[in-house]
Amino acid sequence: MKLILKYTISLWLLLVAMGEGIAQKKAERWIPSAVRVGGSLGSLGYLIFSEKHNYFESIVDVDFDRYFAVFEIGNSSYRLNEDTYNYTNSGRFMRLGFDVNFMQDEKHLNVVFFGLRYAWSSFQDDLSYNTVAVIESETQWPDTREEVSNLEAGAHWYEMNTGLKVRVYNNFYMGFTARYKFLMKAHHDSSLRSYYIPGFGKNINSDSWGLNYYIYYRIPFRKKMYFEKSEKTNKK
Amino acid sequence: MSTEMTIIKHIFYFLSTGLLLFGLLPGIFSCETENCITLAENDLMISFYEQDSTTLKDMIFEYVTAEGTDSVFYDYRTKQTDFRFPVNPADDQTLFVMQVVDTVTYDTLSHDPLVIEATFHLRDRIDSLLIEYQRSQRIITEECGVEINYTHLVVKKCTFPGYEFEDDMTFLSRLNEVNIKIYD
Repeated sequence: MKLILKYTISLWLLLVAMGEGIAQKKAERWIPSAVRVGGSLGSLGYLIFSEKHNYFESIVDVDFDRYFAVFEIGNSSYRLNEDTYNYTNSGRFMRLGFDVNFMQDEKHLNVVFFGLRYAWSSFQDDLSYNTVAVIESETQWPDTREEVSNLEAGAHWYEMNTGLKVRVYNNFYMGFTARYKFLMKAHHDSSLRSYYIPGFGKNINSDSWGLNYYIYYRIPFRKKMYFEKSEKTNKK
Repeated sequence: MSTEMTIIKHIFYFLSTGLLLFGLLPGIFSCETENCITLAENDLMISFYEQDSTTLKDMIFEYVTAEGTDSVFYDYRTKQTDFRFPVNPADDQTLFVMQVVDTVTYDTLSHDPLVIEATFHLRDRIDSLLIEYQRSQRIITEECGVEINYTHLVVKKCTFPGYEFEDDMTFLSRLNEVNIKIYD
């Protein structure tokens, strides 16, 4: 009888210890293992080939188990020089959100993700135009050059994102993010409705899409849980 | 497989997947139409009515012009009840100035029977109509260019005996809706 009791208590203690171990391991998975910083590659293409649009974006993500907290910041300039009007726009934008990784415990720590963002931007823009060249028919007035500017314009929007981050060498990763954006509000301080919103795109429709290429560098603090498991397995 | 080959393979997968998406997304999500349709215009639509009446009144003007332009929008050759007064696209107000032809008499006893000479009897006063409005500008698309919308129309001065805005037509549009009824 004593023997049975002894074995029962031992088994119970073993189960408790195992349970605590699993819970501890689960909790450990939520401790961030690395910061990944990145910069936009696509902006180089715009810098070389585009006369009207330039931008640069930086991105930072931190992992929490299979989730990533993501912060993105960038600046942008946009200009149109047409015969009858000139438009310039410059400003900054930020995005804050999270991604869910569908490739958890992948050995190269590659990421295929879906995420949500809240984004906002502040910018200035300016339009100068010839009054006879506006789209209305004959104005019957002499042609003059008019100018209107927004000095403190802004916008807020949400994004649904998907993409991937692939390890290419050591801690270097490359990836792209496809974005579908929903404009919530755009505000301006003059009679000019902004044609372009930094980070969002053309302000023609209330939705917009985009694709960004990035290069990342992953700065690890500690080993990811996956590797700890592997090492224990290997030791056995 | 060597490290270099692995790197090249990863870059290839990454670029090709991105390019595939880049090619497909515009087709899936692109709804941006490039047609240059606009309802904006700078014509104020005015109908003239008999004073204290619902009867439309034919009007003849010696001239209709506006402060800031040499253009004459209408002259004595036009006799009608509805007029388009173009507001100034470079200002937030326009002062229209006009002289009404009160009556016209015809000389049927002319020396030449084929010519009937008309004499225009002008009103003693010069009439004016001062309109204020808010302009808003936007680029429709890069190809279409700029449009100006005129809203919040307000009559600041009117020398005619009476006027009233048509219901909710305090903006200018191509819908050919009358903005202001003027009673004369």
